[in-house]
Amino acid sequence: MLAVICALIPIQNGFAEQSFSGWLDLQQRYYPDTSEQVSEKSYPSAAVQLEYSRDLSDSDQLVATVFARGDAVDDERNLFDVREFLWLHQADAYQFQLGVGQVTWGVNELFKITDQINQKDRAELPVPRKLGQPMASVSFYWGDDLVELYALYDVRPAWFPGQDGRLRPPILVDNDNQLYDRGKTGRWDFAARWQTRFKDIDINVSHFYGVTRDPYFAFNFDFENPYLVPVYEKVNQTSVDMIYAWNDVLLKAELTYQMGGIEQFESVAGGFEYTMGGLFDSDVDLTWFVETIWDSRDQIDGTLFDHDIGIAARIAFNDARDSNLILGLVVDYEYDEAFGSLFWSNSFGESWKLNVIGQYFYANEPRLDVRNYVAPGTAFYELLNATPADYPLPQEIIEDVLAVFDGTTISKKQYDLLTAQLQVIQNDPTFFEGVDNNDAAQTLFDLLRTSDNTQKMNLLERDAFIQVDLYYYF
Amino acid sequence: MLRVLMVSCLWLASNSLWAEAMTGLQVVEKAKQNGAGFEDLTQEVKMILMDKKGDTTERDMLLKAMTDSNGKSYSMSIFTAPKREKGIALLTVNEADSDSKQYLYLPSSRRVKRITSSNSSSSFRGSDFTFEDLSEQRTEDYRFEMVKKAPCGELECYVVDRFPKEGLESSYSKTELWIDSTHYRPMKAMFYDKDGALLKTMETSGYTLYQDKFWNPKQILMKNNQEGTSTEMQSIKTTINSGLKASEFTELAMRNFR
Repeated sequence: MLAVICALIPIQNGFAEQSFSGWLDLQQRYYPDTSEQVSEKSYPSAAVQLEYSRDLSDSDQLVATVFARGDAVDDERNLFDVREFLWLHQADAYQFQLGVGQVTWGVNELFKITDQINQKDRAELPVPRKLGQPMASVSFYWGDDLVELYALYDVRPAWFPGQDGRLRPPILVDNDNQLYDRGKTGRWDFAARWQTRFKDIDINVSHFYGVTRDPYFAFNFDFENPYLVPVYEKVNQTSVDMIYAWNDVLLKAELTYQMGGIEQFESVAGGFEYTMGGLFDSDVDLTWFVETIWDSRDQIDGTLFDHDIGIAARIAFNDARDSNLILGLVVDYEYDEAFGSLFWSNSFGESWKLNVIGQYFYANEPRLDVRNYVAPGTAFYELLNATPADYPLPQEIIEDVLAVFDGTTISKKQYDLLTAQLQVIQNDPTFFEGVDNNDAAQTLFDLLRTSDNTQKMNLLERDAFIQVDLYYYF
Repeated sequence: MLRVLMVSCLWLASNSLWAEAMTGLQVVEKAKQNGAGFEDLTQEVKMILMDKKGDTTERDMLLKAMTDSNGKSYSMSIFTAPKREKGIALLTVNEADSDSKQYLYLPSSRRVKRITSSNSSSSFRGSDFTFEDLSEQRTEDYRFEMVKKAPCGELECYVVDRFPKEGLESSYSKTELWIDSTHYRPMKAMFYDKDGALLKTMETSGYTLYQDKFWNPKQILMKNNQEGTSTEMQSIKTTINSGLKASEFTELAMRNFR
């Protein structure tokens, strides 16, 4: 239908039959501190996004958006992505899409637990961008309700930082190798969303049957080339999100129930948004966002934020430069951890925008000390310093190693993997051949740390950064 | 945001205009015929923001508004320039039996977000127009006083003072409206702040008659007398009663504008 309008009404340069636009981004990210594994502090990079749209007929449109980034330091961050490549057919009563698309679900600003269709572009974090998702979808109004059905082809693997990248776990995640448990429908995933209204509450009910967008990690037990391998499983996720305007306050809630993955879980996140307009008789608006999240998982494969409270303040200056400042703080109510962020945005001229982003990680949980895990007499030491004559290793050594992991939030699946691998090691005197003992001990220690929820922020603590983005829009 | 231009030029398109201002009744009835009665409106608008130093920035948008047969009214504004804001859309739905609902579409995250329409004193896109200036103003919320008849340009104008009634949240203590006595079109408005000082002055020009009944100005100039800034709203193209449908004022329609 809009295509008709577009045809009737000239926009900007006359007939809006096709349009070409996009942006360039020059980015500089700086970490004041070195990290445990990486001494690099400065990460310059550049990105480009090209957007094209064309009316094929009064009711058909072709839209395409491609994105590319090059990073001067982290090779893994040299990326190209087709964000969108869609044929859109619009009739009065329905709309059909085919190609690569972008879909966003949910009402929350901080804890977005229902959003499920597109894989997040983690290389772009903290900017919320998404990888294009191959799909066919149909949307139609059923009375006042909007119903949307999706058939999705394949999952886009999540991205993780490379050897020289920051904000990475001590053991690298393998970007070239993933494991899938695709279930009955193979590469085809399905989703449906029903948008309705009860009194004045906007309610969305969604179901997703497909490969999870959030993998868990399996250690490859290769001590020469240690990697965490992302594992994607077919899941069923049902979710409800709703929003209600209570006077000037927006009340929001998202609920999900997922099964089929590493464990079944429920998650609830919600809160409110309140805008104080025209602060102190000026044009400045101050908006408060307060949200909290509770997730039934206490294993490490929960998301980074699973038992947290977040508060953010957005100051919109409402000036000709469209200046905006957002300050956010997320506090974990289970562990003594917090996460702070800053976002400043300022436009100038017809085509420019300057963003400044900062992130800070606060950890006050006792930090695991490697010396306590590799010294003579410890379980890891006994395991790694066994002579060929000791094989098969006494069960006691195996039990001692497992005991170290017992106290952590390691998932049952990973624990089973570990148990199985230790059995292999128990009977294989050549397993650690050619591997430096210290390196292997460090890897075991790193595996321990990545299996422990109390260490989440400890691992990121030195990765506070500030980032400046200069955008040129064309 | 409803019917931005229509209302911003103070056509006051609602039902019982200035009911108790008996002396202004005739003015009101005539003005009502100007501002109401069409089913839909499509307008391309350019805003030129000028700062104290005289530097200008531009904001373009496409506005669409309609009222359906049940009295449900819709308006949508889609930002078209500058390019960094292209595709941002604001949808307002007004139903007789409930509060108005506003939705904002952010193309960068392909997300439709419910928003509250409370911040009426905030500037619209950094301009000298506030959301209050651009929103539908219910006449029952105001008290009107006929002041005088005075010359305005080549025409004669009725000068009417408008005061917000107790309980209405307004940035203005008084608005002086100038409405011409020939065609009953708003020609000028002067906005006074809460201390009674002149805050802003609005002037309309370039009136064009559409379909032999609807007068629409080509330009509206809003000057902030205290800050020294100004905003000019230009109507680039106006189409009335082109047969818009309710299906163009939906979440789907917002998402698909390119």
